[in-house]
Amino acid sequence: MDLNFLGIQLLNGLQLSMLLFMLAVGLSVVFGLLDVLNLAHATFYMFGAYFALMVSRLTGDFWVALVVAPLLVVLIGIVFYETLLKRIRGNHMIQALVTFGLLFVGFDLVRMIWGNGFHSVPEPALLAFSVPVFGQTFPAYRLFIIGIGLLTVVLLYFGLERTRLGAVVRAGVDDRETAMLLGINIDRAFFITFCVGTFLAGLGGVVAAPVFTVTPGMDIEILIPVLIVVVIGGPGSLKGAILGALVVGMADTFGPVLIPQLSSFLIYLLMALVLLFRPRGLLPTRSGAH
Amino acid sequence: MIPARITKRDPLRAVILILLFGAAFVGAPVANHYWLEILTEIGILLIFVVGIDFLVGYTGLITLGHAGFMGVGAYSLVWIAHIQGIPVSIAMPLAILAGAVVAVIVGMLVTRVSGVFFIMVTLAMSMLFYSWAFKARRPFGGDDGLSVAGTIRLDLSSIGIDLDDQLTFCLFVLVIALLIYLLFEWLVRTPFGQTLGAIRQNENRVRALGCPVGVYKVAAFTVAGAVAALAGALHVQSTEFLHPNVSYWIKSGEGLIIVIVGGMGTLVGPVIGTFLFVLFHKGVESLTTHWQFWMGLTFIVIVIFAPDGIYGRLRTLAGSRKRKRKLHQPLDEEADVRADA
Repeated sequence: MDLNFLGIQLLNGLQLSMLLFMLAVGLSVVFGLLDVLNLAHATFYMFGAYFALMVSRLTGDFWVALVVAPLLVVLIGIVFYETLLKRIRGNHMIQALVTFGLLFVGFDLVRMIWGNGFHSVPEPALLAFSVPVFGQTFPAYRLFIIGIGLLTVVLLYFGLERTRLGAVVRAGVDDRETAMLLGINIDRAFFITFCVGTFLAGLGGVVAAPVFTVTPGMDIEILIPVLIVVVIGGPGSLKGAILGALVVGMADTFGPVLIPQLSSFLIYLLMALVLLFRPRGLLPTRSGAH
Repeated sequence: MIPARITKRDPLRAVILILLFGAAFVGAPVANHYWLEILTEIGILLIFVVGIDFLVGYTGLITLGHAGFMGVGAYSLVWIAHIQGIPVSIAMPLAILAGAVVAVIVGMLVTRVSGVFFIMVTLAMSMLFYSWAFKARRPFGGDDGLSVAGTIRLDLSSIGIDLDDQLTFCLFVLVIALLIYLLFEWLVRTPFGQTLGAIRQNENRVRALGCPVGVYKVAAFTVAGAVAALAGALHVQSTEFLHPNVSYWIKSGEGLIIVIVGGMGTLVGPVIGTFLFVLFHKGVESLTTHWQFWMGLTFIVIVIFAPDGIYGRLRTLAGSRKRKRKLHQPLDEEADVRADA
């Protein structure tokens, strides 16, 4: 097999991994902090893509959409947090079920507003060129996605490891009760983490919009691999989300090339293997009895 | 820790069952084509849903991938009967067996995690089946589906029953649904079923008593998987058309919604839920194409304001007029404890 070809696939895999990471990290850390499984996280992603469609049509500028659309998604997230999530605090199963109901509501809401059809968001003119790499050309926009993903990794790493809020979040994930006994306000940390996660889900939707088709149903399409990322990486940690995203992204890209017979099962097989040998994920954070 | 809700006599349950099944059996012979279709759908969905309640309400395993087993049943039946040409009377038990075997394997994997994690993993496993079925073009037609008309229904002509007749098939499905319901009513009363209830309430305590909790969970998962495979086999017999959508997550989700809206852990609640769901679906469908919006919204409202479901509310209403209320009140709190586990 041609090394240049593998190089291009590596970039494709990295691009998918970064997108998965942006979605998984919010889901994973929110889950790690308060055991809240937000299935509607994928709905935020879908709304990010649709808001990008709306804003870039209104203004004709992708860059405006890149900033405005995720903020609109955060706004929806805050409304959801204040009206629903807060009300049912403490009951994790009910929270998961409510977000599950929202998945249905979001799906039809998108159909009501934008219709059933496929939409596409043009990539920004500034990045509508290809870069020669590995003896071939690679779309600059995809490199941009990788860049955004790496930037997110770096910012989150410093946010979690070097700031006070990050320390609070890590303490909360590690041992919630002890952290609360020490007088740490977990709820506030949770709210901020939730907003950051929602922002990243929206941002993921915006940057994915020019690459994938924007359509109702794009939520569940991304939800399954993202859940697998969380299961494989182990919930709660940045490192787990990075590792899980890389495993799933690469498996999904190289699978069809290297083992075509297994391509559609590969990520599920990997998940099954992780469940068999490391049921708490490859990089678990919890030390408690969970 | 025997849940008294199972052992205590419950006249309300009997009344509801007689009313609903009575209406179905009495209504079927006078129903037209449209209503026969609805009744058949109710029967098949009911089989699927009581199996989910057995897992969700009694064992405490909240699954969001149960339609995967419906897919296993439907695809196995089509493969054995339609493609291999083996008689349906043999193919049907084999399809159910296939569901059970797959459920043992999947169950051993997924019961390694619990709680909210279980939701994620079951969802992913069912989507594994869906993505396979979606692409399985060669024998099964992939996402175009496969018409299996004329080869897939059970041949009972030797005992004078013609299942190609719509009314007969509808009654056949309703009888099976009733039998499956009674099977679960019996199962939850057995020591096996009681142990599952104990596992739901306090898994660690049961484990400390020396009970192999994992084996019990896989066993429950297997029973529910086999029953879902039966529902899948009946579904493909009813529609005579095989399509991957039978295993789609929306199907699993609807099943879970029906169980919770009806009242989980009661078996009769999901029966009420099934009737309401199908009728509501048909009603809303004729008014709007945005059925999922209203279903999702209704579900959220019920989950937040009436987590014990319709049957739980009915029982509270019926109980508040009588005297026993104080005595049994603490047991109603059980639903909250379980949901939190």
